[in-house]
Amino acid sequence: MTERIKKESGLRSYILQGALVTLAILLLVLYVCMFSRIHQQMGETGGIIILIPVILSAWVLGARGGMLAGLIVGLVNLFLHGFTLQYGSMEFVSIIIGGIIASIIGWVTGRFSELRISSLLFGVDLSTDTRWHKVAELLRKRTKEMAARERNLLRTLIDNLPDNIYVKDDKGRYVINNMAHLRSIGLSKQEEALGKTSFDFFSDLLAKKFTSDEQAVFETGEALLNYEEEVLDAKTGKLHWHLTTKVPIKDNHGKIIGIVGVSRDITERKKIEEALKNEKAFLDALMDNIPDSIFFKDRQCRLLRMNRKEMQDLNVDDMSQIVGKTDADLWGEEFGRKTFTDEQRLMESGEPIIGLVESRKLEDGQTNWTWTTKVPLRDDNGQIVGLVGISRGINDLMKAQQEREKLLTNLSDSEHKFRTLFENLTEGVALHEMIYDENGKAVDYRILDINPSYEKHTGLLHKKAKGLLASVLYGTATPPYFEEFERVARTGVPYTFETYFLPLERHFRIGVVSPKQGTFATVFEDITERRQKQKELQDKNAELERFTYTVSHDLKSPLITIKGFAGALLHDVIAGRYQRLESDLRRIADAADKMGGLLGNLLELSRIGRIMNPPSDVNLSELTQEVVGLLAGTITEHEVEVVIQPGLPMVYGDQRRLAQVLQNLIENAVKFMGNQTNPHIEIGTRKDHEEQVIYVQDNGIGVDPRYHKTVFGLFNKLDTGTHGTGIGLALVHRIVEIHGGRVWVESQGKGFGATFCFTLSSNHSMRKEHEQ
Amino acid sequence: MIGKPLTILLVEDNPDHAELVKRNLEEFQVANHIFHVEDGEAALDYVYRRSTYSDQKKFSRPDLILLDLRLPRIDGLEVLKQIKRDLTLQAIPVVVLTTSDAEKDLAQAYEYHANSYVTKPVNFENFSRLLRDLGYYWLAWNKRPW
Repeated sequence: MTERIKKESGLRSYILQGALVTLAILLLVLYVCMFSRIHQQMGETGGIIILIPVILSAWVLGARGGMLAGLIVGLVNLFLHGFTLQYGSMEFVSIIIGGIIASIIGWVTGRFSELRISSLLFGVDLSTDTRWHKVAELLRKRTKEMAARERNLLRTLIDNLPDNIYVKDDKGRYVINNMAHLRSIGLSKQEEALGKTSFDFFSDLLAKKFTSDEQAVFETGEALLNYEEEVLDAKTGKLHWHLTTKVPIKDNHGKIIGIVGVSRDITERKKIEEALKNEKAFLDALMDNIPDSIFFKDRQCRLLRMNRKEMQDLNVDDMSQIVGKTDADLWGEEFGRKTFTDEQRLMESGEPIIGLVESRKLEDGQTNWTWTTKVPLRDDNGQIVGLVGISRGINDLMKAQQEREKLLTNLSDSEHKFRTLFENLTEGVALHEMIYDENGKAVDYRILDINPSYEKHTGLLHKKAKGLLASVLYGTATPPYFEEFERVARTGVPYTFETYFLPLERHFRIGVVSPKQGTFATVFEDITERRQKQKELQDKNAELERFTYTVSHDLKSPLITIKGFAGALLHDVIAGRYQRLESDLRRIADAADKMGGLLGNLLELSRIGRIMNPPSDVNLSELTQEVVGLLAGTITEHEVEVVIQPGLPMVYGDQRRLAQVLQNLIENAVKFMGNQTNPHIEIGTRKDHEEQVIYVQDNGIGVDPRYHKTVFGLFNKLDTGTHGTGIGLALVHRIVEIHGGRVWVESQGKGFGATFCFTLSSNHSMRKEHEQ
Repeated sequence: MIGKPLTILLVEDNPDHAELVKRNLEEFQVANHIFHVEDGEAALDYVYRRSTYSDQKKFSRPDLILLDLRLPRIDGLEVLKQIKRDLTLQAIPVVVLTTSDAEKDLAQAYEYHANSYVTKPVNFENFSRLLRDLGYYWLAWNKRPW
């Protein structure tokens, strides 16, 4: 590298040197021309000036050259002036001496130059001996190098070209082959190909063809340019397409001495072209046979191209008739404006329009419906240059859809009706589907939908229940009423039943229908209240029956006694027997009294329901004290201790009747004391589950659990030995009932004492009932 | 009437009625013994020889039971049911003698296999005749296996 720089700078030095020589000669000539004038005007100083060309010449030409230049300057000076001067004069001598000095200076300077200075300045040894020889040698070397370099360059170039390049001589022998060509004929080195011909590498047929082509070039002298030929690859056996050029090479005399061949494998390009051609054929077939219209538009929404269907739709035979037209031109202003807006937006945003249903009014007044998809067309840079659209006539479809919509509207009306019914039914409705196992056996059912009433009745929320399995929802192994539901879902025979649903503690009347196999709907009504009312009614009826029965029985009873003993009496009197007279008469009288008493009680009992004293706030504590005061006589007589617990509540009701309740209970307690030595009665209150209970407790004979119910029945007496008509507790029962409360007895049986308890309804409801 | 004393158990809560029945039965001399109990519990105690009626000699097995329906403690129908359910007792003829002519009672009594159902006539003559006929029929005419 450094050597090359040196060489180059050497070369430059020679050129510079040449220039300096030329300059020196020019200056010398100038000096010669100017010398006399300089001399005349400047005198001896001119001598110094004339040294300049001498020094320069010496520098360039060396010592001998410098001396020669000095001599020439002296001689020229003498020649110009010396003849006019007087021989031997001062001036004459100075010219001679000047010439000698100039020569000496020239020699010295030249010598300097020869020694070192030039090499210092130009990098080249310019010593006079070697100078010219070296220049010639360098130039020769340089030319050779350059030629070699160019050849290399060319070789490298052709070796690296992908095309096959070769040169053949006039005998068809290879002279030059580039690497691509060598490879294509199965070689790797140039030497292997030298002297061989096409026949060495190709089939005879092919080689002949090549030769005849080349022969033509030789004969005509004209190049064959870019023709395609089919070449069988000897190695792979595959056909290749080549694009070949063959050019003649001529010598200086215009004689053809060889040819250059360039051929390129265009098999791939051929394949692509073929594929493209096929593709185009496919595309054309598709385009022209598809029942949908296809069109292409440019950036300004003008038609570029379309398929046959679109042309048919537009009723034109030739595409050129409508190319460049817009929708506005073809379908009218209104439609055109709309599609233009759509399409411009599409092309700006790149967002395709997919499945857009469009309508346009035709001239005959019909509406034409189309279903259109448009997507942007992009160029290689991805810039949107237009769009392609595909459009299908959907008039039939739209008609069908309109009919369907009409149908759906009707359906939805009816659905709406049923939905409203469903939502507003007071009955709970639930839709279910049966769940079957792999053997087709029903195992469970799923809740599909429930209405608000269902939520209300069951407390199960729609969002919680919907979709859930019944076994999960109700938390049972077998879902509720599974057997019944399964049967209905299977047979489709509706079924209605009433049931007590334990988990909710309600009575339901459940209707089951199956809209289709495997599904069923349950419609259920909460009949708990109705059941209760029914039961109450039944109870009332039973009571009424008992009442009439009791009345007929108990009123008839004294009648039988009266008539019986009257008959017996008569019998005895007739027979003259008088010993039983008195007792029989007493029996008759007693029976009559009893009857009177019964009638009075019955009247009283019937009054309780019908005649109410106006209700008021009643202080039970005060009332109890009052009642106990009234009964003071009996109480003291039986030596009973009566305790009234503090805290008896204020109640709202019929004060007189409530007093009757307390009186009866306390009287009973006193009456059924038995043989108790420490008779004790306690009246107090307690809370049972938030319910205010008032009780009258005694430590008397008690009531056998078997009679806890019947004890409140009309004329039911537990003990025939005691006095009374058996109406007392019936009265209590009736009064408490009227006040919306309950009455019951707690006793573990005989000898354990008894506690009679009653509740009264809350003040509020009592008040309300009265007001009503 | 052939030596074996005949026993009637009268179940009647009304002492006056009981007196009337007893007088009539005694007058016609249809039975040797008339035992009167005032409630259903006592009636069952008697037939099962329980509590105060455990003396088998004194309280012999009744040949006829006259049963009132409305009784304290245990209702007449319940007494009837228990007697007729018991294999050792069901053969004893039970005649329901009651004030009630309620159909329900009548039906219920026959359901429990009462042998007869009669209501107490208000008229004394009829009352007398009924008891005489009853006594004769059940204790004289009617054949018994014991």
